[in-house]
Amino acid sequence: MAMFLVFRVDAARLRPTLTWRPRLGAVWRQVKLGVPMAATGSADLLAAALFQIMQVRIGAVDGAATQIVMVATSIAYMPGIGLALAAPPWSGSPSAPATRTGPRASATG
Amino acid sequence: MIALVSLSMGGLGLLMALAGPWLVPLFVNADDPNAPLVVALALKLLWIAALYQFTDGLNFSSSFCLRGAGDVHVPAVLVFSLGFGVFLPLTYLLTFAPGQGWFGGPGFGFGSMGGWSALATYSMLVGVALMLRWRHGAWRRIKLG
Repeated sequence: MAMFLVFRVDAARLRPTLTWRPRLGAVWRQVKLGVPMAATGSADLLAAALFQIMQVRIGAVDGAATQIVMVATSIAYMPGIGLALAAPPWSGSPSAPATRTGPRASATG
Repeated sequence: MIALVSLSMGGLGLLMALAGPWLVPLFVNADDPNAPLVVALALKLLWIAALYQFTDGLNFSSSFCLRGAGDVHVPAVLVFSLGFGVFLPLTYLLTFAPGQGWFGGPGFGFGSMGGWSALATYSMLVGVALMLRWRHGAWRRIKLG
């Protein structure tokens, strides 16, 4: 339904491609970067899910203890995630100095 | 940045482990007959989780730095191969006693202590691998945009 609305109804009415055309090169570069990133996250989550299934299989006590520790660690993640999210713009920023060694070198520190 | 993330996550993991005796009982029903067992086990697991937090910080920050630099293919292969080639088999081996799991085979039967130890080991391996990938500097040859 959403695809229909976006690509048929709105496209017919607004004719967005008269003023904007998809840049296939940019889309392809996005796919080349995005698919491995998505695969990494998916592999990590799938492995974590299988890990939890194994812990629950042992028994209710082990399963419950694992769930509690998972919740506790997910709270401890948050500040680290925030800092880690700051790393990509810091390490890959095109506005970094010409040599692009300043911020990237700092990321290692 | 990488050291900062690792230290902050490890520090919080340590705080969680120290605060465990007050935190963990909040998550269980005290009237449940299994509650004392769950609390006792969760308190032990929190210490493994504290170590795991430190190495996971290394993993996260290295991974995100590599993403920012456009180096995504090798990290994906590393995470996939270590996750499915090392982590899950090791978890199975350490968690289940012989004949307890789905596929039979050998096992040490350490229960969730073994499972969490496998998780900490996996996290350490991925963290170190991604950190080495970052230090290797292959991302310098990648052109963004």
